[in-house]
Amino acid sequence: MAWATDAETMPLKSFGKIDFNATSGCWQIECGADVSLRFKRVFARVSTSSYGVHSLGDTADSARDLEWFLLRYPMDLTPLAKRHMRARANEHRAQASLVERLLSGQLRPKPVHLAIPLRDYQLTAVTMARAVKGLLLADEMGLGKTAVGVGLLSYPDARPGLVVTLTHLPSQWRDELAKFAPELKVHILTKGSPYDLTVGKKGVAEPMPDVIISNYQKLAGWAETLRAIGMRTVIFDEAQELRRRESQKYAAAKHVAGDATYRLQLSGTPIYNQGDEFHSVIDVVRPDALGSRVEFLRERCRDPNVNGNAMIRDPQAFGEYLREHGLMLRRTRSEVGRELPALTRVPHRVDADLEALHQVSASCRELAMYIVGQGKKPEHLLHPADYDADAQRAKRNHDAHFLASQELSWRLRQATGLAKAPFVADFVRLLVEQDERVVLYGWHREVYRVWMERLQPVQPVMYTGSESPRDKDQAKADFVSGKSRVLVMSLRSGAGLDGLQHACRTVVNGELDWSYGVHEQGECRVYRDGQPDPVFSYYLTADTGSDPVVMDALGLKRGQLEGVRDPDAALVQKLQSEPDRVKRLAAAYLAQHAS
Amino acid sequence: MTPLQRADAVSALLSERRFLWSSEAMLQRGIYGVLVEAGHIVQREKRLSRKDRPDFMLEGGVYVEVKVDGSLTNVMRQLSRYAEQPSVSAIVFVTTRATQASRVPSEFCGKPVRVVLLAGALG
Repeated sequence: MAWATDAETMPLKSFGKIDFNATSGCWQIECGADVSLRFKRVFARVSTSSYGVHSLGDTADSARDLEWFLLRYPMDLTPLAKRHMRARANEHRAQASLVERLLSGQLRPKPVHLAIPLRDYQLTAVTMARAVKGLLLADEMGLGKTAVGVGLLSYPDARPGLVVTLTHLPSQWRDELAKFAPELKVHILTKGSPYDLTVGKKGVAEPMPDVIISNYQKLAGWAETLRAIGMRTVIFDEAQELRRRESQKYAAAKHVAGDATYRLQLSGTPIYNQGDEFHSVIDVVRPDALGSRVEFLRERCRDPNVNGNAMIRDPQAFGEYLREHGLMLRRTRSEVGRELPALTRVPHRVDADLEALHQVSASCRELAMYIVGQGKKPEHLLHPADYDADAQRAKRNHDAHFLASQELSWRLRQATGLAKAPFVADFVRLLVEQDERVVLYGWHREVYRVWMERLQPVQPVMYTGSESPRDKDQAKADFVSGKSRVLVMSLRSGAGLDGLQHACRTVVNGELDWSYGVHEQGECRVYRDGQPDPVFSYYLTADTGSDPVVMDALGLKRGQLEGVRDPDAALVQKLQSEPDRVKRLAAAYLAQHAS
Repeated sequence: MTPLQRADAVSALLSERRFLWSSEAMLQRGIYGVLVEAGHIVQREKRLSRKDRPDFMLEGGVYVEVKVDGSLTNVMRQLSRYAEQPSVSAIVFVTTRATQASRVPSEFCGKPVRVVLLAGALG
């Protein structure tokens, strides 16, 4: 028996009316109760309390779904609605086919006219960003994501454009723009509150800049003004900054990107913690593409914690989805043929001075008892500057439990860092005496103090949160020139910094961060284009204190980030590590000092 | 190859590799592949007692248990139950958690236990 479609067997009946409201950018669907019920089930984003007339957001995706719904329940369309639905649905088809052809290599990317030509894989990224309008570009660090941003801004219909980046990187962006697109007029925002961009020095009138560069901190003050100017492109550099949807800069980012034609995010490490951060990040450039947060947590995640953060259940499948739908583009060095000599991670256990850990045990016990609900609130909860944005918010909200847990983490990690500090410093000296230059990563000021003391003979310099920008530049210059052989860096001050790869091939992680992405960022200050040698990254950990717990968390977070980012990676990889490397290092040192 | 040598060989084999996983089942698939490829004869989830089915049984009574989660006390109880069985000659305990690895003893009921902490973030 042959199947017959409804259209062949029945005359077309209309189940309702559809109009498109160009002012609000919404579809208006009017239908009876029975169809309403079905409609709300298919389009879960429609308010369940709407009655008779339903409103649906205008995306290419929803137009295509509407088209399909109308096959089952035909409705009358106004001429405008008919035209718009066809155009939007076709846009969706074209987008999907373009993404597929670009990814499979069937389609050559369009050339872009810049002073320095882009590489093929960079052109692919520009073409895709223009086609899908909102893209997270997660290429491996050091593959030239900035140049892709410049490529996008080189199209006249993409200007004026806004680049949002980390505090220490606006000048790096200005230099890249000048190199690739010298004809563009670029302005770096200098104040947190808006001023007239068309008035130059001494009150002289100037044309509106083609590209405005801001850091994330200034964005909140400028969001309203920039949206009013009408940014056609918004680029978020180091987009992991948008992983927390409660932050002020997040709200500002969403606002300023609201009307933009093109939205591009750049980051090799788009999340720092659990996989649910992907929803926050991507929702800025492709609103609603992953559903609402509640839907996302329900469909994709498991085990949400008290703060609402959750692990993605199947990171590989999610990564595959992001790639197929043109939401994320990620290429590794080997995929684009720009491999570097290997990066080898060497985990190495060091001793810990138990005395340092015992000193904090009483206060930690008090905090721990309070956190698990078995003790009274400690009298003094300190608020050290090292606290992150979450803690600042908790402080504002008087969330004593959260502060107590932050403080416990802070104290235990500092005590662990201190307990390891002498051994870490000695290890670094061993490396330096083997003629290595070392970037040494840490987190706590007290720990730096011990390192600096013990490393005094080899004249270490510092690049942490405590130095002025000028001191930092000087420290970097001294390290690169060879005047100093050890650069003590804060784990969270490194992202994006370029230039160390010419001077150094050895990284030592003397303390652990909670986020895997932070360590990867740290390694990539040295492991990047221009590095002629294999890079070794030592992780010096203790069996005690906070290290085992932090290592467990790092492993889980790495699984989330890598699963999504590289869904096709081999399930089993042979480690590069040389188990005897540290032993050989020690033997070489002893041989050198035998005479 | 004595059971102890086999347990050592399995420990070395797994320590040299990094596994991508998002569930215990996925990790077990990876480990199974590595063991088979290295020429071990492996039986999956062979019943050891009324309560227990260790993840893998290898020749010579070498049992492999894989954990990505769970409390330390439960792990200890489970391993000691395994060790009580006469057919068990050595245990390889594979974990992704540093908090478990450093606390599991090297022997239960006189049976050797090899602990493998899989390279998580640092490998």
